[in-house]
Amino acid sequence: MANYHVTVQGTDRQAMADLVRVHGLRVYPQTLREVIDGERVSAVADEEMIRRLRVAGYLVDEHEDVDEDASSSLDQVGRGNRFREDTEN
Amino acid sequence: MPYLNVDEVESAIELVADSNPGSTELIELPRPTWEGRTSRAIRVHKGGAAAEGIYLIGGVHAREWGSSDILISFVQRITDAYRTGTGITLGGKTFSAPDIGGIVETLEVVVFPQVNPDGRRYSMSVDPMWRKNRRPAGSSSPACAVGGGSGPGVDLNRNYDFLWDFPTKFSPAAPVMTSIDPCSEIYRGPAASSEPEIQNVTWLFDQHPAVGYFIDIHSFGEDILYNWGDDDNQTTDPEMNFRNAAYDGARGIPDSARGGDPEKYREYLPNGDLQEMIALGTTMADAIRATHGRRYSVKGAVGLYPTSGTSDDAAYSRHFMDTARKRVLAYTIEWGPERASMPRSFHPDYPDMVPIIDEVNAALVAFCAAVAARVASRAAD
Repeated sequence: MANYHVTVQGTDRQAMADLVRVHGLRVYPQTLREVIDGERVSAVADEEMIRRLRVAGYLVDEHEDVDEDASSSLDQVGRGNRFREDTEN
Repeated sequence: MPYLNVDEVESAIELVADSNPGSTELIELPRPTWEGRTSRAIRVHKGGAAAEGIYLIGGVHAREWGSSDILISFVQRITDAYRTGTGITLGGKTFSAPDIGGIVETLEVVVFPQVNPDGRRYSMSVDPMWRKNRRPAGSSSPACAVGGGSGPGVDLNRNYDFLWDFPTKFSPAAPVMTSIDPCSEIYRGPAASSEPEIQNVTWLFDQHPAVGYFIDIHSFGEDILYNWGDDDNQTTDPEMNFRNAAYDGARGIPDSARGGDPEKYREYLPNGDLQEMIALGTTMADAIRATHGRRYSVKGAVGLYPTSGTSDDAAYSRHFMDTARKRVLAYTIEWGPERASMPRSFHPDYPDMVPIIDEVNAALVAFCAAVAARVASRAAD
């Protein structure tokens, strides 16, 4: 099942705490922000979790599929060993 | 220039040690990882017994690739500058040769740049969103979903022996960021300090009793976080603390929760420690801003979501648990901003990582220089 970067908006701090203690959502705490009409936080969720959160009254914005997006990051990793002359770089 | 892979991190610290035999010591850690890797740290110090120590770790969370690169760059820059008698310039921030000499000759700086090599290898080759170590699933464990960093393994920054038993220690209403589910990205592990990687981190503390400061490098958020992470701080009631079983079941509801904290629990620390944490945190933030203009927040680690079993709280708790130990002021740096892409928040494209390496290096050098200056000032009194 695909995992998506989402931003989740709730009405108040209680609702944002419930994301963790009731729904078990993997939030990124450092992204918690106050917005008009509540607070929002970034998280990673699959489609089933997104559906549950919406049913529970949260506003959920869906962004990238994190696994698909992350796959291109592998190009940023060094190959071989730049500190050893006898290996491919 | 790409991120350092696992082998390159190891080679880099070997090279630093080989190039600086009089001022460095390569340290082999006692516990091999689950996949059999031997980890190493490096100690930077010139002269007799060091008056003060600073301990830096990185590469704990596998996908936060830049943390190891930051620490390798830091030891390279410090040792190169000391060996050649030069200063260090990082963007708009400059440190003089005497600054660097003061650090190397006054302090011991212990750097463990790749705490979780198994996880880093997996993140850099299979699942770039992988966070945990590579502890295998138990034979009786249910299969975990894969992708998005899910699967077996332990979140090493939830495995330390600090309020690890969160169902007992925290309020049932606390939104604690840890889990008993082995498939969770924030799984705490089967026991406190169960993981070899954490035993290695702790072993370095035990081997270097002069260490009085600790910084754990993570991403992301542009934050410099100080203790505590389990609840809000208070400086007036020493009995209200993490060791006191009378408060079990009351921790972890920050005052910022709606209606405040009905339990009225706050974690104790002496006011002098709090002020020093803020002052040194501000020193780092100022250095970061001077480097490339980024503004990092200096704040207590607890937000709406408290934590248990983290490195910074475990480090600072050590002298409360055993008064024979030295007090260790502890920080977590969360480098880099949130980006539109979640994976790139954790590991930006390398060209975007370069200025972050500079700014966090500046923070670390400024921190070390400030501590060295305090030691020198005390010695002169």
